[in-house]
Amino acid sequence: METMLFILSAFSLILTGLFGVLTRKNLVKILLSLNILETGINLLVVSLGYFKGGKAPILTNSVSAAQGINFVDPLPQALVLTSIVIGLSTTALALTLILKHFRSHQAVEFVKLEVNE
Amino acid sequence: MEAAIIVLGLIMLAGAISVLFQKSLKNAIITFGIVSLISALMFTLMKAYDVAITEASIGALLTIALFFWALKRLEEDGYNEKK
Amino acid sequence: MKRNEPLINLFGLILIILLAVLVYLALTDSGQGLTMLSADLEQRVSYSYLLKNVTAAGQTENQHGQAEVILGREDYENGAVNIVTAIVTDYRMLDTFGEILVLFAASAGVGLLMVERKRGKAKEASEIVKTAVPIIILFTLITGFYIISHGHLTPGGGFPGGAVIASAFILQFLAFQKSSRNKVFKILESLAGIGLLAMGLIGLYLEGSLFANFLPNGSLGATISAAGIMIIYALIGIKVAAELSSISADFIGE
Repeated sequence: METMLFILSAFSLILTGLFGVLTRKNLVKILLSLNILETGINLLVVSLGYFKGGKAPILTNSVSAAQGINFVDPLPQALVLTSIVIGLSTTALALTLILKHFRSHQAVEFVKLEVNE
Repeated sequence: MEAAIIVLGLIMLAGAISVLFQKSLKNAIITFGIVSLISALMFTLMKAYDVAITEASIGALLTIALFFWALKRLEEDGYNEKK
Repeated sequence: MKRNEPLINLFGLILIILLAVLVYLALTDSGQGLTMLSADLEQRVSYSYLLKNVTAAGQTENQHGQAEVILGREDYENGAVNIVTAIVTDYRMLDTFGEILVLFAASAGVGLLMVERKRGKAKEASEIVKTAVPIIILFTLITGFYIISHGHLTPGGGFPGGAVIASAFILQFLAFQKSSRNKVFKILESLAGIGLLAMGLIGLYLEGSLFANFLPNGSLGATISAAGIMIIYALIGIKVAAELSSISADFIGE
């Protein structure tokens, strides 16, 4: 049930971000929507490893397979850890591109290219 | 636990929607910071403490700072929000 | 442009609802509800990460033939208590190395494409800020080094610690408006990258696989243990801190 709620909130964020990417015109708003989408996907991937009653994947006592191992799945967490840092660097690159676009077109929206005849 | 997840999820959803429909870009960026911090809280509820500490320091702090610096540069170049 | 906005919003909403229905149908495809949730941990690959017995050489069993991990012993595949750290820096280090390369490419791209400022310098910071910032920077740096050096024991490690150290440098830029140290960051970044690659190649030479753990593990759970993981996380921390600082310096400076 808890995993279900986590997945639902992650999906609501993903769909909101996708809606923003599809409908907004301001490039900064589109980038913010992409960041919301990314947050939602991170939440989704981590929530796939969660189950009720699991402990954090840090060994504080000795564990053995005979007594059963009761940890949350650590692999999605490790993947999301790197994905957050990549998200920051790509956001920085996209912001630089937006600044460049504003210098040349004087607009933060997509503009129609006009060909001189 | 379940009530906490529902409340936090609803706040996140409301914040995400208000990011999209806000007129002012500055308010939108701040609201995105709130969404990011609440997602860090969700990560701690999922027992993903490594991810939570990373999200709180990178996703909620440095991303917002980058957006604000970029907005400042846009305004120096003549970008006006009112238009 | 303005008059089309409600129409576009409606169209987007319809698309999103369609997508939500499709995802729901895909998740409940097998007729047993959400099957993704019912996977057992013992059937996942993380089970051997948790027991530290991925390779045949790393098998450690008790007298009944069941795998177990005991704090204080030394003969495991790596000495990290925090399993996420073990995955990031040892089992899936190649992924992390690729991520570091992406970070490098993005930082180089920001440095290359950044437009220069039109107006002059910003206003100078006040006296209070200039007095307080060195003290705050000291504590921020201590926190960052703590997070990095305890990455194998507690949550944290190279990525958040590097970000905390980068935030100390950002404070310094904002208070004193000196962002001309960019060359130092580039050199540190390159040295850390070369160090990471060297760790990988030494592992390949000594153990036969890229980024293999070749340094002694120490006793599992001790403060100074897992030498290889500590070195790799320190290098990652330096690289992340240098890259994030140089990206921020590009954004703040002229």
